[in-house]
Amino acid sequence: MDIIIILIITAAAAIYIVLPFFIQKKDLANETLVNSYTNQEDPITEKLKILDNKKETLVSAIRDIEFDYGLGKLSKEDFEELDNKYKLEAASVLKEMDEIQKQDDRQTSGDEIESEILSYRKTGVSDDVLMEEEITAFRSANQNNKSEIKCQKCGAEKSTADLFCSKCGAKLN
Amino acid sequence: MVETGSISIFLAFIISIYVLVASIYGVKTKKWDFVRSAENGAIAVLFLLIIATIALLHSLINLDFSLKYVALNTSTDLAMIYRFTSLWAGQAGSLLLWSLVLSIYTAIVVLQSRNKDRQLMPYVLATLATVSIFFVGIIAFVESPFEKLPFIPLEGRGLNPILQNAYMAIHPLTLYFGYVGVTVPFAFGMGALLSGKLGDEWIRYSRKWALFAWTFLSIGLLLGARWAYLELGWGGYWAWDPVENAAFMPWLAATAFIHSVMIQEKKGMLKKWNMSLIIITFFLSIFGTFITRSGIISSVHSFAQSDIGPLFLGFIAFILLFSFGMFLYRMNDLETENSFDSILSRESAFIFNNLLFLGAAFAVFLGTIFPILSEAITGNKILVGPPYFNRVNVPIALVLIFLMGVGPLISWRKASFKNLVKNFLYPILLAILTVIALLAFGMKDVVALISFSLCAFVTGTVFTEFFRGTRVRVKRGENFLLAFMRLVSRNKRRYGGYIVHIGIVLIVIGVTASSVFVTEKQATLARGESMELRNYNLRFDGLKQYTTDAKNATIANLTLFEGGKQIDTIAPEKNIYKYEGNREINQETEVALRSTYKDDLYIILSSFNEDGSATIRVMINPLVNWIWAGGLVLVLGAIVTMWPSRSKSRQEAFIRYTVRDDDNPIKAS
Repeated sequence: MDIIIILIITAAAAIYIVLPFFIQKKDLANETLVNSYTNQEDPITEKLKILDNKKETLVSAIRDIEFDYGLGKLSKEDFEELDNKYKLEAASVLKEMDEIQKQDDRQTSGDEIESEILSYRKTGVSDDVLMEEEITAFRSANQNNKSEIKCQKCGAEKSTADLFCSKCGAKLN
Repeated sequence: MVETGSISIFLAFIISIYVLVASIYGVKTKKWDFVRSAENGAIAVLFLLIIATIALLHSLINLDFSLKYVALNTSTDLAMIYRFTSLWAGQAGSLLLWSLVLSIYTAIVVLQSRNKDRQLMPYVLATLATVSIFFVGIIAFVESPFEKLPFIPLEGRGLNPILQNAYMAIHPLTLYFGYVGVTVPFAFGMGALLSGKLGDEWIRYSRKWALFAWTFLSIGLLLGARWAYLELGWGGYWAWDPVENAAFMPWLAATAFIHSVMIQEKKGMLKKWNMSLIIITFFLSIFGTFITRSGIISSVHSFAQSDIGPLFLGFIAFILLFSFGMFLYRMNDLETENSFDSILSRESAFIFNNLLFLGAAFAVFLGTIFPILSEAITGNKILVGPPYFNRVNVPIALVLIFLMGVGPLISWRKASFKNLVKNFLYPILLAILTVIALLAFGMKDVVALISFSLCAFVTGTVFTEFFRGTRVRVKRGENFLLAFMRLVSRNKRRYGGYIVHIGIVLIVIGVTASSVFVTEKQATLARGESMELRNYNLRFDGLKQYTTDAKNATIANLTLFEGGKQIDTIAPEKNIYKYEGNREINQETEVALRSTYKDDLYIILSSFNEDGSATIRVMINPLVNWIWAGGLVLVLGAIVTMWPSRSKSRQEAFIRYTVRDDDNPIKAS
C-alpha cells in the first residue's frame, strides 16, 4: 500500500518538475508570453525600472518632508530648500524617463498607463496629498521645459503645454 | 505511512539539490525553462514535506511506539493536543518543522515572483534551496523522525510535564516562523550579491518578510517568557539562559535591520551595512537553532545531545565564509547614492540605534559562548549569569528608549534646530513631571527613575505625533475620527511603527517595575497561621491531596486578605507525576497567580511536611502584566505596518495625464 503511494508521489513530483521543458515549446509561438517572462533582460526596461525606483524614492522623500513640515519639524527655509532640491531631481528623472520612452516604440507602456487610469477611475478618489505632489512634480517638470518651443510665426518662447502662441495667436506645433 | 514519510523526506532532499543546480544553471545560461523547473521543484518539496509531516503526526497521534521519536516524546497518558504538539517537542520533529516552514516560505516567494525579476529570483531560490538541503539532509540521513526502534516498547517516555502548557505548545512554532522567516531576506541579499543587482530591489522585496519574521520572533520570545513565569516557579520570566539568548540575539539584529533598511529605501545609503547586517542576522538565527538543538551549552531546557552539532558548525562556517566572501567580492559595487544631508537627522538616529542594537547582540553573544570557550580553552567552565548581561544591556536599553522618543521628533534628512527644541518641549516636560511625581511617592532607585521618565518621554512624543498628524487633517476639513483613521491608513508604516514603540514602552515599564520593585517572603506555616507581605495577608488553611491518572497532587489552601478584608482563596500545588520514565523532572509546582493590572501575587507551595505544615513562598511582582499587554500592542502595531497599501503605479498615471488648473500648493499649518 505504502509502495503504491510512494510511486504515485514520486511520479507526480517528477512530472511537475519536467513540465516546463515541454510547455515552453508551445509558448515559443506565443511571443508575448516569452517576452513578458524574459523582458527583464531588455536594457530599456531595465533602465526604466532603475529610473522608476529613483522616482519613487524621490516622491516618497517629497512626501516625507511635506509631512514633517506640516507637523512643524522643519523650518520654512529648510523645507523649501529640501523641497526644491527633490522636486528638481524628480523632474529631471521624469524627463529622462520620457525621453527613453519616446525612443521606444512599444505600445505596451501606453496601454499599461491607460489601464491604470481606468482602474483608478473605478476605485474613486485617491490620496489628496499624493495627487498634489504628483501635480507639483509634474508642473516642476513642465517648468524646466519652459523654453522648449519657439513660435514659428513670431519667435516667442512657449511651453510645450501650450496649443496657441499667446503673443501672436498662431497655432503651435 | 511511515515508509511514505521517510521516502518523502529523501525525495525532498534530492529535489532540493536539483532546485539549486537547475536555478543556477538556468539563470547563467539564460535557459528559463530550467528556472521554471526549479521553481516547480521548490513547490514539489513543499508537498513532500507536508506529506512527511502528516505521516509523523499520524504516528504521534496513534502512539506508534515502534518509532523512536514517538516513543521518546509521547506516552499513553498524553492528552491529544500534546500528541499533536509533540511534533516539535524533540530534535528530529523540530528539524522537520524547520524544513517544512522553510519550504512554505520558499513556495510563497516563488509564487509571488513568478514573473518578476528573472535576474535576481533564481539566485534567491538557489540560496533558499541550499538552506533546505542542509536541514532536509539532516532529517534524511542523520536524525530521521521515522527512525525505528529494534523493538516496540509498551510505553513511551512522554512529554515533560512542565512542557504540557498552552504557551509552551505554541512557543516553538512562533519562534520557528521567526527564525525561518529571517532566511528569506537573507536569500534576497545573497541573490543580490550573486546576481550583481545591488540596488534596492532585494530590500523592497524582502521588507515585509523581515517585519514578519521580526514579529514572530517577538511573539516567540514573549510566549517563552510567559511560560517561564508560569511554569518554572521562580517568579521571573527571563534568566539570560543560553536558549533564551539564542532567540534574543537574532531579534536584536533583526530590529536593527528593519530600521536601517528604511534609510536605504529613502536615501540609497548603507548598502554595505544592510548587506552585512542581514548576513549577521541569519547567522545568529542558525546559531540560535544550533545552540538550542545541539546541547552544546547545558541549560534549563537543553533537551538533546546529538551528532548534529558538528554538522551545524560546518554549515554555519560555510554560510559565513560564502556570504562574506561574496560580499567582499561585490564590495566596490555597493556604492552609496547619496550623502547625509545633516547629522541632526533621523538617519543619524537610526544609525545610532543600529550600533546600539548590534552592541547589545554582541555582548549577549559573548556572554552566551563564554562558558563554552572557557571550557574549551582552560578546561574550567566559567558561568556567565544575569549580573553581566544586565550590567551591559540595561544602559544600552535606556539609550535606545531615549532614541525611540527622539526619532519621531527629528525629520528625515535634516532637522531644523529651532523646531526640534520646540517639539521636544512637551515630552520633556512630561518626563520631568514623571520623575517629580515618582520622587514624591518615595521612589529612589535611579535606574527605575530614568527608565520611567524615558518611557514618559517616548509616550509624549508618540502621542504628539498622532495628535499633530490628526490635527493637520482636521484643519483640511475632516472630522477627528476620520482624520485619525486616514492618518494611520495613509501612513501605515510610520504610525504602525509608533504603535509598536508604545508596546515596547509598556513592556519596559513592566520589566522595570517587576525587576526593581519585586518583594518576596518565605515562611513555614502550621494550619491556621498567617504570613504578611506588604498589605496582603495569607492565612494557611491546610493541605489537601488528590489523585488523577497522571499525578498525585498536593494543594495548600490559602485565604487572601488585603487590608484586613478577605478577597480571595488561593491554592498553589505541588505535583508528583506517577510515571517517571526518563523525565528529568517528576515533580512540578503549579504556581497560584492572582493577576491584576497593578501587580501579580505569585504564590508557590515550596514544600510540605508530615505534620501538615507547609512552606509557602510569596512574591509580589508589580506591573508585570504590562509586559504581556505591551506584547499585544506590539503585535497590533506590527500588523498595521505590514498591512498592504494601495498600489503606487497610479502615481505614474497622474504625473502624465492629470492636469489641474488651480494654483494651490500644499498648505502647511
